[in-house]
Amino acid sequence: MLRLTLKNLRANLSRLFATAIAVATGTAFLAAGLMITQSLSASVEGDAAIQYAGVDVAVLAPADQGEHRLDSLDASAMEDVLSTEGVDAAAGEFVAETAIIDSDGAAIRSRSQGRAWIEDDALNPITIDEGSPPTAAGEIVVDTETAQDGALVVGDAVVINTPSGEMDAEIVGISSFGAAPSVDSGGNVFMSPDWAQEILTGGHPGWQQILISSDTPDAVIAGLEGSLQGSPEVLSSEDFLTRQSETTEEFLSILSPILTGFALLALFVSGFVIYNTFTVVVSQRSQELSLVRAIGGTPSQVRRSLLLEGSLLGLLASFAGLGLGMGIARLIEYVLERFDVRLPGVGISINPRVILLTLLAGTLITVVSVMLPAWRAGSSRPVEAMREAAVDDSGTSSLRMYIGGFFLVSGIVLLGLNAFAASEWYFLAPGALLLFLGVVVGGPLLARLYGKLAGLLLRPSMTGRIAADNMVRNPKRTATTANALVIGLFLVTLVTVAGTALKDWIEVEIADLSESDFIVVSESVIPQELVDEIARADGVDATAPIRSAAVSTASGEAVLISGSDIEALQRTAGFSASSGSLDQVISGEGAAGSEVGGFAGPGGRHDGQGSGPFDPDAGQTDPEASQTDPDEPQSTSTDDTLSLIDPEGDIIEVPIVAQFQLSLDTIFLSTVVNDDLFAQIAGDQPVAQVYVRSASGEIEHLGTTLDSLTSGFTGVQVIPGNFIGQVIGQAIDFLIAAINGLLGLSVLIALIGIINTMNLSIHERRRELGMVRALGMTSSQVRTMVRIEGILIGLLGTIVGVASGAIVGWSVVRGITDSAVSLAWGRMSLIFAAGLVISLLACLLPARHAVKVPMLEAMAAT
Amino acid sequence: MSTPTEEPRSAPPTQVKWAAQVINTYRIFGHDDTRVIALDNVTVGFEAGKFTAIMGPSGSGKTTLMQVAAGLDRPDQGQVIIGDVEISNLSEKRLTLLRREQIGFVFQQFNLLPTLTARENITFPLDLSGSKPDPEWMQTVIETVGLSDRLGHRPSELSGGQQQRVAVARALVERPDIIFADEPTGNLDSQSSAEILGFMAQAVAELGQTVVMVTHDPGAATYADRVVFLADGRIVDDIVNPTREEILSHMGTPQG
Repeated sequence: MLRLTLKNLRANLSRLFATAIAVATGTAFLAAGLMITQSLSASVEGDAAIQYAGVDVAVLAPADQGEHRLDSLDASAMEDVLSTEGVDAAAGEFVAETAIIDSDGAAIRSRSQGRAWIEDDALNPITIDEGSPPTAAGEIVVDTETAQDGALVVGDAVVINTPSGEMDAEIVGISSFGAAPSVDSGGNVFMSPDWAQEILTGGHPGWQQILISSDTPDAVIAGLEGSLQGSPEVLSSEDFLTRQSETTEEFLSILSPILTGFALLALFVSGFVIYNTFTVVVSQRSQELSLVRAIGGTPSQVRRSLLLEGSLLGLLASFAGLGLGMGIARLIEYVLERFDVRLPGVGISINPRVILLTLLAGTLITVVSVMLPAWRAGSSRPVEAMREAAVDDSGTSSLRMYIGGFFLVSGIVLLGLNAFAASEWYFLAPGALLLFLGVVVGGPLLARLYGKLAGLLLRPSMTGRIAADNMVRNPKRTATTANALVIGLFLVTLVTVAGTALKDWIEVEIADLSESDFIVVSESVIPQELVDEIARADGVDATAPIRSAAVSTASGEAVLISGSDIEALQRTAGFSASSGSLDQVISGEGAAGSEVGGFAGPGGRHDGQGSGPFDPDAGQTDPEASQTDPDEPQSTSTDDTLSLIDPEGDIIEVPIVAQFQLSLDTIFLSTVVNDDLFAQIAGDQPVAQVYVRSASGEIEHLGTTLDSLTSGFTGVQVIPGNFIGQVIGQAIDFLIAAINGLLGLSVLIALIGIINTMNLSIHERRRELGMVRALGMTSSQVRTMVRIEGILIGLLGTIVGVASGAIVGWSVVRGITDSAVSLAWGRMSLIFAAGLVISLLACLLPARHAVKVPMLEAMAAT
Repeated sequence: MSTPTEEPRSAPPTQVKWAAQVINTYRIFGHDDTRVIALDNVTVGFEAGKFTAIMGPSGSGKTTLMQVAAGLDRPDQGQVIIGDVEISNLSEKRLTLLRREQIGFVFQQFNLLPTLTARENITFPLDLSGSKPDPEWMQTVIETVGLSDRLGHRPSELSGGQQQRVAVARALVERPDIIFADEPTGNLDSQSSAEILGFMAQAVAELGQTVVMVTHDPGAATYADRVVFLADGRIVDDIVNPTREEILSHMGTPQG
C-alpha cells in the first residue's frame, strides 16, 4: 500500500499540484504572521533587557505631577541622586522627537528620536561604531540606519529639528544598539546631556527618568526614597524591567492576535480549499480506488493510503509554504518601510518554533481535510465506484434545510437586536456566528436553489442552462468552493462598511466639537512679527494668539496658565463657559478653568522610555498640552482661588470664576486668563499658538496664505480646523486599506479554490465533455459553458459574502452610533465587482482545459 | 491479406450514393517502438440509406475507422468525404458544425447528459445550434422509440436500454445524413440489444436513415445490410446481407 501511495503521488504530480498550492498558500500566511510576531516580541522584549542591562536602580517621574511637564523629573533631582550614598553612576534619560533635515528641508526619517547621551559605560547600551560620543553642544551621534538613509558620514554638518526649533549640528559618531541600529524604531539622534537638556526639553530642563548603577541597590533605594522632591518612583532593576515589558506587552497583546488572526483566517480558508480539492481528487480516482478494493484492499487500507498521501502532501506543501511565508514577511516588511515604519530589532528571522508550528499546522489541516473524503472512499462498495455517478444530491436533506434556516434566521434576528437594542453587545458575536453557521450548513441548499434560479434565467441558452445545471451537480462541493470566497468577501465588506460608516460618523461628531478654521502652532514659539502678519492677512476674520507658561503656586505645584484675548478666543475657538460666567475673565478679574469629563481628549501620555516601537506622537502638535488623565482629572472648580507666584516672587490671588467647555480646539488650554492678567502672572511670554477664523468663503484661500506666511518659520505648523477629525478619518481609511489588503489574500486563496474545483470538475466530466463536443458543441460553446459555471459559483460566493458582510457591518455601526447608517454602496459595489472579476479570472484556465479534452474519450469503452 | 490495395473490394461503384467515404487513409499512433498503424491505407464507402456494420477483433482499427469517417479524428494521410464535403481542410469549428448538422452519434456509454431530461437530451444538438425540432418528426421518432411516457425523466431514472433508445432518438431527431453508432449494445442485455438494433434497422428501412455501426457482436451485425471486416488496420472482407453463419465463418477466417 505504501508503494501504491508513493507511486500515486509521483504519477499524479500535476493533479496534486493544485492541492499543494492550496496548502502552501495557507501555511505561507501562517508562517509570515508567526515570523513577524515572533521577531517583534523577541526584539521588543529583548531590547528593553539589553537597553537597561546596566541599570540597578531607576528613578521615574511620578505618574501625575501637576499639569505641566508631567513626564519629567526636575533637573535638581540628578544632583540629589548623585549625592546619595552607594550610587556609582547616574544618567538622565530624555527622549524627544528630533529629525535630521535634509537639503530639501524634509526630515530624513520622520519618526526619529533625540536622546541624551549616557556617558557612563555601564549604563549606556549604545556602541559607537565610528567616530566619538557627543560631548559638546552642536555635536550629535546618529544610528547606522539613519546614517545610511541620509548618506551621512562622520564630520557632516546637518540641521536638526528639535522641540526648541531647528539648529545646526555636526555628526561626530555613528552608533548601533546591539544587533539593531537604534533603540527607537524610527532612528536615534544622540547629543550630550547638557545640550539635550537645553534643546530637547523645550526650555524646561529635567529628566524623564534617571538610571543608576550601584553595587548596593537596596541601600540606594532606601536612601532615595523620601529624599527626592515631588514623589518620583524609585524602582529596583527587576521592577523597572517589568514596567518596561508591561508597555511592550500591551503593545504586543494587541498586535500579535491580529497577525495570528489573519494567519488563522488564511489557514481556515485554505482548509476549505484543501478539503474540496481532496474530495474531488478522491472521487476522480474512485475507479482506481474501487479496483484496489475489488482486488482485495480493505477499507482501512484505502483510507490509510489516502491519509498517508495527504500527510506527505501536507508536509511537502507546508515546506513550500514556509519558504513562501518568508517571502511574504519580507514583503510586509518592505511595504511597512515604505510607510517609514521599521520593524524593531534585527527584522524578520526564522526560528525552530515558527518552522515547527507551520509544518504542524499545514500538515494537520491537510490530514483533517483528507479524513472525510478518505473515510468515504474506504466505505464505498467496490462496484459502486465503478459506476458513473451522475447527479449528486448530497447535502440537500431537509434536516439540513431546517438547521441551516434556523441558524440563518436566528443570526439575522440577533444582529437586528444588536442594532436596535440599547447598546448591549451580547448579541453581536452570537449573531455573526449563527449567520456564518447558517451559510455553511445551508450552503448546499442555497447553492441548489440558486442554481435552479440561474437555470431558469439562463434557460433560453442551452450552454447557460447546462452550466447552471452542472454548477449544482454537486451542491456540497459548489457551496464549499463558494464559501471560501464568502469568508474573504464577508470580512472585506464588514471592515469596509463598518469602517466607512464609523469614519463618517466620527468626522461629523468631531466637526461639531471644533470651531476654529485654523490653528497655527509651533514646537517652540511663534515670533510676534508672524502673529501680526497672520492678523493682517487677507481673509482673516479674527485671530486669538495664546501665550502659555507654567507658573508655580504658593504650595509648590506647577500650573499651566494660558493668556489670550478672551473675546477673540470666543470668536475663533468657540470658547464658552459651561458653568459660571466669563465676564470677570474678560475683565481680568478671574480665570476660567477647564471643565472635566466633558470630553475625553486624545491626549496620549509620553511614556518617555522610548523603547516601544510606536511612541505616541502626541508631543508634536501640543508641546504645551495639558495632560488630561481621565482617571485623575486635574481640574479646578469654580470658587477655588489660585495663589500664583509672579516673576517678582509676589503672590497673586486669581479666583476661578468659570469653567470653559472643552472642545477639540480648547483641549490644549488649561487655565485661561486675559492678556493683562497673564502678563502680571507670567511676565512677557512669547505666543505659542494662534487660533484663526476666516471671513466667510475665504477658508481655502486663507489656508494657502497661512501656509506661505509660515513657511519661512521653522517648526511653525498650520493645522486646519477639525484636524483631529481629518487625522482620524485618514487613519481609519488607512486601516481599512491595510486590513483589506491582508484579507485580500484570503480572497486570493479562494480564487485558487475556484480554479481547483473547476479544473477537477472538468477532469471528472471529461467523457461527458467529449460527448458534447462530438455531438457538435463548438469550442467556444464549451468555453462559454465552463465560464458561466465558474462565474455562477463566484457570483454565489460574492452575493452571500457581500450580503452577510453588509448585514453584520450594519449591525455593528447601528449598534455604536444609534443612528441611521448610510451603507457604503459605492465601495460595496466595488467589492462586488472585484468578486466577479476574480471569478472571471478563475475560469480562464479551466475553460482552456475543457476545450482540450479529447472528444474521442467519450467513445472509448471501459 | 496480401492483396495489393490499388483495387480494393469496396471500391465504390459509380451509381451508388455515398453518405461517407474514406479513401486511401492512414492513421498512425505513437512513434518508433510504440508505433501502431490503426488504419493502413483503407478505402471504404458507406452507402446512403443502408445499415453498415464494421466488425473486427480488438485492435483491428474499427473504432478508429469510424472516428475518422465521422470527422471526430483526422487521418494522417488520405481523404475523408462526408456527404460531398472533403473534410481534411475544414477548420475545427466548421468540422464541428458539420458534425452537428449532418452526423448523429450513439455511443456505448456516456450517451446522455445527466442533468437534462430525456426530452432535453433528445433535442440537445438542435438546441446547440439554436434551431427548433420539427414537432411532427419529433413525435414520429418518440413514438417509434417508445419513450412517450419517459420524456420527463432524467437518465439516472431510466434503464440502460431506455437510455440507449433516448440516444438513438437524439441521433434521429436532427435527421442527420448519417448516424455512427459505436458498440451501441455493448452494455445492454440481449433483449434491450434486440430492441435497439431492431429500432435502428427500422429507421433505415422505414425512414431511409443511413447507419454505420461498430460492433464485435455477430448477432448485432446480422441486423445490418452489409458487414465490413477489419484486421490489423485493413479491410479484409465485405459481405452484403449477411447471415449469422456467414459472419461467424468470416470471423473465424485466419487473416494475413
